[in-house]
Amino acid sequence: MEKIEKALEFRDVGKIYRRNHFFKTTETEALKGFSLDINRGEIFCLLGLNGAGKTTAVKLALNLIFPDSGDIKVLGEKPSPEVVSRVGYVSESPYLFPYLTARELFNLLGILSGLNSSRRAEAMDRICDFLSLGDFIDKKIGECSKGMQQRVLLAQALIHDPELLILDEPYSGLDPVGISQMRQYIEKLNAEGKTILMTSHLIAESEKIAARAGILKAGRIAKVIPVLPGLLEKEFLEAVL
Amino acid sequence: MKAVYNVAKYTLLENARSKSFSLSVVFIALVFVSAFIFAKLSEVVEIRAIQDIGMGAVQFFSFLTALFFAVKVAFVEGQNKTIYLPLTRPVKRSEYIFGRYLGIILSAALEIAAMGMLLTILLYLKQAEFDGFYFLSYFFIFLKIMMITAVTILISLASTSQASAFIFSFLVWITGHSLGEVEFLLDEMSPAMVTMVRIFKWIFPNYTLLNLADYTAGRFMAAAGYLPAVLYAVFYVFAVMWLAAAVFEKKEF
Repeated sequence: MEKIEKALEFRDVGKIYRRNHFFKTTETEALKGFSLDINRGEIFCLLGLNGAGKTTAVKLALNLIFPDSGDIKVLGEKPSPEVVSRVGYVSESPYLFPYLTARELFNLLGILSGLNSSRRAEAMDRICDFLSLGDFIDKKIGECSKGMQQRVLLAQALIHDPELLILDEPYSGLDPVGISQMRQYIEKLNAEGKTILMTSHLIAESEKIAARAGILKAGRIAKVIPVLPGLLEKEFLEAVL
Repeated sequence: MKAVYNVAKYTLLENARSKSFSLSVVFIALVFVSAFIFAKLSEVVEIRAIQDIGMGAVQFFSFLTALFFAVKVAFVEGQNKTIYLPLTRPVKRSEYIFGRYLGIILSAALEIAAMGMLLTILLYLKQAEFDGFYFLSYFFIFLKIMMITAVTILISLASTSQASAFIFSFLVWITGHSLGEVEFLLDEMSPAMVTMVRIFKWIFPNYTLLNLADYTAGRFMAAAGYLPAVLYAVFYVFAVMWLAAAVFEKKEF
């Protein structure tokens, strides 16, 4: 069987958001001619100003929205619920179910991911240990601190042991300690062989862990560069200004 | 089916813990107590008044909570992105929305049962007599809630704002209850209006057919038999939820 080298491929992808108001439709072109390859096993950072199209690219890969043109391949296949089951996703803010406990949430998402009860129990032990969730696993998510909710958010993305992890602004709203912890988790996960795609505004943080970075400007990839210490900010500003 | 069952189970758990659920039970208790205090007429009329106000309140508050939960599931969770968690799993969107729907109507059943028990205790203390008709009324309230929940999910999936989802669903509830009254005015209407009313009767849930809590309508139904009304409600729910699942399948988040 042929070995798939790319974890994620976008080929000339276009996406237009259409919003219907009573008598008119407004259109916003979020991505145009967007092409990008993400290699298996790397940490890739997608950088861009607000509204550049980072989250749109992520949502297309996750099959939450559909492209108007172009091709997308996730782990070698077109986006579908089946292939998405091999992907973990951490959204920008801890959008969780506040009245459920973390254990209940993991249980539900584990079932939806097709894990049987013994695999769910094993996965819960593994992620609780990895993220030091401790007794918080039985606390209602709405009663947890922002930092703990962020950990629960990362944990839910790991419950099914995905091959590709997509992190949308993983440092959003975290204090310096939280940022440092999140960076360590990302590095550990990558060391385990997981491909990581993360979007961020935080250039200094991206520089610490990414192997390559793609800079988005107005819905297109302006450049893809290897991340070299001290140069990312300069490259970013040159590309977006 | 496993996905539908589990989504429904956790929806029920979530709803049962939410503040809106507890609040509606507190409100209904207040309504019952008020009815108890103010219905100081003759004994028979007092019992009748408590029963009518109580049943009306059970229906209205279970409608409000179902409306709130349905808009939350089909609109708010899309806006605040909570829906990304289940939809980035290998679950069919139709299974997810059916599971959510089932969870909401189970929550409504629980709420109606809790409020109904409270009302029955109050009436029992007033030495009211109960017949099968009384208990069947709760089941018909539940059928109405099943219908409006499905309609609200469909409306919320097509809405661009939370307010419009609430307003349109509320209008459907009102219209559904008025269709029976409009029937009496058909002789006065132009042929075009009559056609429009007939179309409305197919599109909107016709609650007149399920108004068992209403004494006169209930007696009329008893004579006609309950089965056609139950079948109508079940068929309506399936049709609307099938449409909702089709919309949800294509919806972008």
